[in-house]
Amino acid sequence: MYRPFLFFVMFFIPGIVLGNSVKAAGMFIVISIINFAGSILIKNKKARMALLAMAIVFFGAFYYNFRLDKMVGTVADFAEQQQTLIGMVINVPTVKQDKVVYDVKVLYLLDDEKYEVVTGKVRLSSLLDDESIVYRYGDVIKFSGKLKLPQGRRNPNGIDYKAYLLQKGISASIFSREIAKIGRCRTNPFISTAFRLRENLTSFYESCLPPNLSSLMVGIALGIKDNIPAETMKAVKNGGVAHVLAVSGLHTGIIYAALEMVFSRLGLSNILSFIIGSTAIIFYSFMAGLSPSVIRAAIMIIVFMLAKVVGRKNDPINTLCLSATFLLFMNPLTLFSISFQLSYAAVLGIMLFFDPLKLILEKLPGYLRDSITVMVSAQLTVWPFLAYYFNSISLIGFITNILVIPLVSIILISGLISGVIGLLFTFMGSLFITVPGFLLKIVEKIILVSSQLPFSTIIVPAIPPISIVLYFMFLVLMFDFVPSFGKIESRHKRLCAVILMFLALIPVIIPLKVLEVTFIDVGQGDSILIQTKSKKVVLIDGGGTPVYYNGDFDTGEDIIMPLLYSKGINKIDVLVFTHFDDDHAKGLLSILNSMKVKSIVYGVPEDCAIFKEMLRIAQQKQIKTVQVGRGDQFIIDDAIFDVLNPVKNEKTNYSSNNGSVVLKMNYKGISFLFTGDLEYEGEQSLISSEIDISSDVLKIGHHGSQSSTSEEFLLKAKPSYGIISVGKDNNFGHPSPQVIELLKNLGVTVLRTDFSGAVSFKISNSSVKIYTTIPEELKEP
Amino acid sequence: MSEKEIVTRFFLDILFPPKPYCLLCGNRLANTESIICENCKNKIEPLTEPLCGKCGKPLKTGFLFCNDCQNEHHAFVQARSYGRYDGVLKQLIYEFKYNGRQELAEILGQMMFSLLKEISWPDFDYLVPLPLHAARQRERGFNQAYLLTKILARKSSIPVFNGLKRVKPTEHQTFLDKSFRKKNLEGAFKVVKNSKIHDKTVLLIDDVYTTGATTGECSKSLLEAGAKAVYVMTCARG
Repeated sequence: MYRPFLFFVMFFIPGIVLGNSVKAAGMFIVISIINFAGSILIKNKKARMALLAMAIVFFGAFYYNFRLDKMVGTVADFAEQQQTLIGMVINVPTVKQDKVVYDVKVLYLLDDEKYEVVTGKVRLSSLLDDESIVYRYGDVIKFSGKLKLPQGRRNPNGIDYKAYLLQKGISASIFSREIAKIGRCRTNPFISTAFRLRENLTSFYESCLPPNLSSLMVGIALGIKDNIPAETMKAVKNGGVAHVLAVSGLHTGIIYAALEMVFSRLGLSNILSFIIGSTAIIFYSFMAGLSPSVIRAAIMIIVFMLAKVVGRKNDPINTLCLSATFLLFMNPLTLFSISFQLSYAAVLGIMLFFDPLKLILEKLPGYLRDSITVMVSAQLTVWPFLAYYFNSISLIGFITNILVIPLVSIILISGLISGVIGLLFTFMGSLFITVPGFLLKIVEKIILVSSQLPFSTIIVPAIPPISIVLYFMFLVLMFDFVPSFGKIESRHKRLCAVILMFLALIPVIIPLKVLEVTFIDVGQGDSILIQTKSKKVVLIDGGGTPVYYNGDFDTGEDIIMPLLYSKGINKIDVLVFTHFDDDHAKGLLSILNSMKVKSIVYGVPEDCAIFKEMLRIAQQKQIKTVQVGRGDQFIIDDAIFDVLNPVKNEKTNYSSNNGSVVLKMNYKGISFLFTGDLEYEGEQSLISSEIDISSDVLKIGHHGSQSSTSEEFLLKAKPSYGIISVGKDNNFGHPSPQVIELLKNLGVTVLRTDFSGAVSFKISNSSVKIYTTIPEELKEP
Repeated sequence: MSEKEIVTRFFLDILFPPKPYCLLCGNRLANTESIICENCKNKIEPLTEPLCGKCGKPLKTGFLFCNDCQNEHHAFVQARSYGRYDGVLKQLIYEFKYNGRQELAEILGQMMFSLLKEISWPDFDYLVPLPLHAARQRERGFNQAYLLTKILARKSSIPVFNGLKRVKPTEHQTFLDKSFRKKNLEGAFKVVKNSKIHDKTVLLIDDVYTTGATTGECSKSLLEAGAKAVYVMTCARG
């Protein structure tokens, strides 16, 4: 282990992971010091290295907890209340249509006319109209609103917004209608110049190019993706070229090459060109917002330049680890950020596989060979991460990249040059910008076309972490990276590698024979996913945003589909609309549009937009629709679904809630009752019909509203578990305290999606296990 | 090594860890300080007599001078090289010059020092590195002859004279044949600070001696600038 930073990082990272799961900073630092002392005292070289490694692991665990405490600060203690805060803007604010978002380092909290000192960072959002001012880095502002703790992960493989913000050092969020500037803090002139230049450059691009191109130009030149339209962003991801919008080695490399050319023309000495070059790179990193990939690329190129000055051979792996050490010291939580993981996986892949793959592709012509080699070698290490986070891998990317990368390089250089010229002489700049503008149009076209081709992307289920570990062990053996196994014949290593790969695939090929019922947390609304033992899928309802909401968030697109993809589901066998209220049905429309659906089940037709839209899509995609009523039954994979409501051909005046499709599912002696929004009248009809409604798990009707779940009904259903699918802080007062009280008195264990996130039941031959996304405890009924 | 050098080296070793594998054959090194293994080092054989009395070219029989030196005049008194420019030594010099492995100067310089101790030459007043043109030096990032001279100077305690300059950017000698080499070089060198080497005996240092055209031209310039005598030492001989 001759690379000091590789040695450090190899043990520091497990330390951070340990610190993330065990909170005991004091104990960790003591163990670390003891180990370190031991490593100094002991003579035996191997024992010494082992102790040093242990010291680093425990130091990492300590450091994680230490920094986490520091970063969270005291501001989070005041959360979930109305607060007035004073703080300094620390970033370039994100302006999107009528919204502006600042990151603010808080200084004081106004408490009864008294200023209390608080620490930490908050994300502040506000509305923008024509008169409002956008504040900038260094401004001290006063704002008030309800200080909130960001939401953690609420669904399996869902977004963990809390962790995402913490990775940026932010521990709370706040919405404030009014923001007042009360002063300015002293700022770092280097940073404020970089930020100022970034703003000027952005507005220059926006003034010279049409919005669709300028947002791409800003993305390519500075890595800012905020203003790229959602459609384009999706195409970029599906086209497999998202990495050109993350400032990375491609960017710093091009800037370095351009500077180098100028410097050698000017005849600058080595040391001088190193100093100017590295300053320029650091300045650019600030402009590009200091994302992990920028910092990584900047450090690597600076050390590369330094190697030339001091006449040493650069060791890219050691340098890569140096940059990781730097980033993890700045903020150990960075380890868990997607940007960090993708960036390092890609670079490591290229470093390790470029040479061996290049040999394999020897016969191809130069540019084609090199670009394919780079892509394949990066992809070898990156794909497990893409599968894990995005559940999709772009196949078309291998072709789009070959076309797009050279264009992007030219766009980047010409865009930056015309940007700098434009800041000095606006007219000249606007002439120059036509070059990147023209090329951007081509790139946009390529991306849009390629992402729409069939099979441009494949859906990959989230692979269990153990399989990812096995896969990386496979790579190590296959490409023979650890020379200390040198004595084993390479034929045998390959054999081991193949066995490992096979082991890694077992959980994917042979899934466990379980039936899983998941009550998805869609906020205020219902959505229940049933996945049978041979991967047949029933989806009951899909949540949905209320009518008055006009943002582009959609429960189907943003919550349910990612969850389905992460489970490897790309087609739905039965899609059940219990009824057509927004909070049950709206989210299903996007699913109907984007996914393969075999049949639709509904109860009472309604005269509403959602029902009509459903029929329209069903007709267009030729999906079978089935109207069901009491007495109907369908069986999927040994799971029996009995329809208990609505009553067929009954001409009573149902409220739409009482017309809800009610399903009772029986599987291996365990029964579930899914009641939709069934209310008192509907419950009475079930009771009087003498149908057996007893069940082990009851989805409490209508989000726990007082109008449902009568005592009579509960006594008949006799559930052990009651699931309430309800949004946190909803406006309806769901669930009602009376219903909760009643459930408690009857000894029903209540699980609520607003407290526990998604709740899932896994039923196998021998057992039933309950999981909640927000960890509580593991129970055996 | 001085304290400052030890500290710098410590930090550079962390930033740019030297590989514990032999640069040439890839075998693990017993001592991480060295860059090539003992095995490879032993493959480099010092030139042995009979050598040309002028340019140091190995001779088959007991002639005094080689063919070239019988026909041609070189301005230096005598030239000597450590080894033949092939095999391990050639690889080493290639890594040193073209792959920027400047730390190899230590090994190559040590060889030259052992040669200097062995031969009975007069005491030198100055060591003179064969200069590169400024443009070429920028391109390469360093002057290999200067690095070698620095090592040799440290080991032998002879001061370095830096006044020899290359004023004409010349074509790569490698691609030219003999007659052109001379022409290409005419007036390529200049001595500044003449007074320093007036009446002094100097040793000109370079990495490889091929035809003697370059070293000869340099020697001429040094003599014209007032040096008493010029000797030449290179690491390898083509």
